[in-house]
Amino acid sequence: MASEKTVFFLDDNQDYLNVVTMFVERSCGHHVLAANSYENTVADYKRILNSDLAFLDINLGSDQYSGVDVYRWMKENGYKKQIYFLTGHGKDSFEVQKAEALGAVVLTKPFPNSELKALIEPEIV
Amino acid sequence: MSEFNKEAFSQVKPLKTFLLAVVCAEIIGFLHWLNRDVSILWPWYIALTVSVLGLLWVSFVKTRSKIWDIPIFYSVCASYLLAGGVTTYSVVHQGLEAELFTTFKNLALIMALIAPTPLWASFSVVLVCLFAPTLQSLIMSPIIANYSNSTEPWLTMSYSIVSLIALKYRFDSKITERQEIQADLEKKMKQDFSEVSLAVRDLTNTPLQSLDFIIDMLREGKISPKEASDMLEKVHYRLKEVMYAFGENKKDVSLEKGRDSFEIIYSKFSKSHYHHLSQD
Repeated sequence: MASEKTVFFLDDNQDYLNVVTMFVERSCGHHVLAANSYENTVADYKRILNSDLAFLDINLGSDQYSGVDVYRWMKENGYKKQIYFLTGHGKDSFEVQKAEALGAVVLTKPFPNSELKALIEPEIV
Repeated sequence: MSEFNKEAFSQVKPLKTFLLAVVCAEIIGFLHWLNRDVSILWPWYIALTVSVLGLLWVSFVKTRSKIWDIPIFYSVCASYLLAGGVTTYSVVHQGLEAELFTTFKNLALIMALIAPTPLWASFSVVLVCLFAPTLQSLIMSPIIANYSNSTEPWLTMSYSIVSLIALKYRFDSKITERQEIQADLEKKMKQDFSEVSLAVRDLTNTPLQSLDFIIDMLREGKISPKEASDMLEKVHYRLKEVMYAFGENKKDVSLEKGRDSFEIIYSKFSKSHYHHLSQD
């Protein structure tokens, strides 16, 4: 097992956040920080900007800041670690194209659990 | 008959406008010839009666069968042209100085501007305006050619030809307009369909991802059955929400008999997702 990391997950679906938190903590042995909106992310900025890895859901609901906005905010605030985007939409949605234009990797749900593990623990895989 | 139903009777307003225009033209024509002491005026009474009755019918009988619109249209045109033809004959034989075939010119003009009927009906009336004066001039009343200083029937014919061209242009424009509307509608439908499919993917993919995590954790013994069942219940609820959302619209959708649901989805979408699924 690699050293414990802190992984940040952003998703507007609280149920999904609960499940992925449990999976990463129990199956991968890492600590998870979770937020379900841009506002909650900003509120917890100290811990989130110190995380080792971030997974951002792109679509956070209508009339809400998107994962792309959170990505920009994190980069503007000096976050240097790897950020991945998550989406339930196809690759052809506008928001996904915006995310890809930033040069970030976009993972389309449902992706294999092994892929998530590999992203969190590249040294093991 | 299909065009008869589709085109002719869906245009009550243009037909009413057309009848109003003809009634006005007939009143002016009747008063004009009345002042000129034309001996034969009875066709004008018939024409006016037919047109006024037609106008009243179209304007006030709300429960009328639209099947009568074309006969009304032809009756009004025929009675007006008959009045014009008889007046021309009368004017020429009385030796009165007057412009001939005004009814034909007027009707050709009205048809070009209003065109209340399908193309074939409008064309047929303008063709009558084109050939009837010629027939009357060359065969029935050769005196007309000398009488009008050789401008008739050619002047009336030119009116009719211009009217035919205008009519054709108007109908072509209408067809183009309809095609554009149809194309816009189809584009909008495709856009809506894409948006819905993306939303469905989003709504179902997240629960599917959760299921993957739960299954993995159960296999590895990282989660208790109680925790798993609580989480599964939430995933199940989420998926049921999607089904309910579709249930609202199910009455608008008819599934083709004997067609597999997956087959329908794959026929509407690219095969890539299916390929991905089968690889899993």
